[in-house]
Amino acid sequence: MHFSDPRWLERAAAVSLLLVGAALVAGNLWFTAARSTIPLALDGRVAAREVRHEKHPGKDDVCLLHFEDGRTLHVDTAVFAAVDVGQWLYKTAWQHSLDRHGANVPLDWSADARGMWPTMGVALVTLLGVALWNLARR
Amino acid sequence: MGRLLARSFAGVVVAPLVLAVAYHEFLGQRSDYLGHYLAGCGGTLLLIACFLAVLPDVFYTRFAPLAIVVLAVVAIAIGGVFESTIYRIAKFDEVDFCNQSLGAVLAALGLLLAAGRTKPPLALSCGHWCVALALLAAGYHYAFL
Repeated sequence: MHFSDPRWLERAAAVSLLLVGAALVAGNLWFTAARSTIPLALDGRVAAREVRHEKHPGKDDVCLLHFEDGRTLHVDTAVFAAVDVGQWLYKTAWQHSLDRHGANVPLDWSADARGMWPTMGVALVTLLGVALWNLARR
Repeated sequence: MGRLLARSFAGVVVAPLVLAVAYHEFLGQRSDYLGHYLAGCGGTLLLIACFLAVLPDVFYTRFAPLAIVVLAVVAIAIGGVFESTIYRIAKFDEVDFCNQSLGAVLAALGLLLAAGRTKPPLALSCGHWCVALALLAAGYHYAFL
């Protein structure tokens, strides 16, 4: 098959789009999971807490923790509520609890993170289905 | 023609709707996620369908697949600029960006399936534009209302 063959061009396009789609699926899963702080390693003091409103205040608020080392984390509402300014936070990556000034704070996946898993599963299956149909065309 | 219509329906209507239903069912508490996905899908569909309609017949077979991929990337970049500027209400939201970009990719894949190896009839292109506008309107509804 030559590179100028229409079938090659279509298949290359389908595979390229599928790979980009898969990367976006992975990105969505990571970013929603990271907001729980469960996958992250933390070791620093909270310098400030900030809430920024989005299009639906109270539903999609952006909760930010600013650390003394300059790091800023977008976290879930539950994590934001459990943490106060001046507290030292420590956890290892993938630990399901947060050490806050010696007190243990359990961490859980948000509704967004739990809902993202099946949604991205459907996304991946849909992307694969359309891509495979493209690849199967003669 | 029958096969072209079937591919068009499956790629441009069914596939985006299947994922939209999943967003609605599993992430119903975040209508903005569905909104961003639908807007990315509709905007990209409109962009690519308009370009393919004006692409000269002599270039269509060879350049349509490349054009679809390039325009999908352009649409994702435009979405990134919008998320960084006019839609940067609180901050650049990575999840919003991924959702709208996922819509863009699915629209491009669907149109790649629907595009065929010769330029589709104008009536079919008009159908694609109608679907695109409907997706954009639905995206606005779920993102803002």
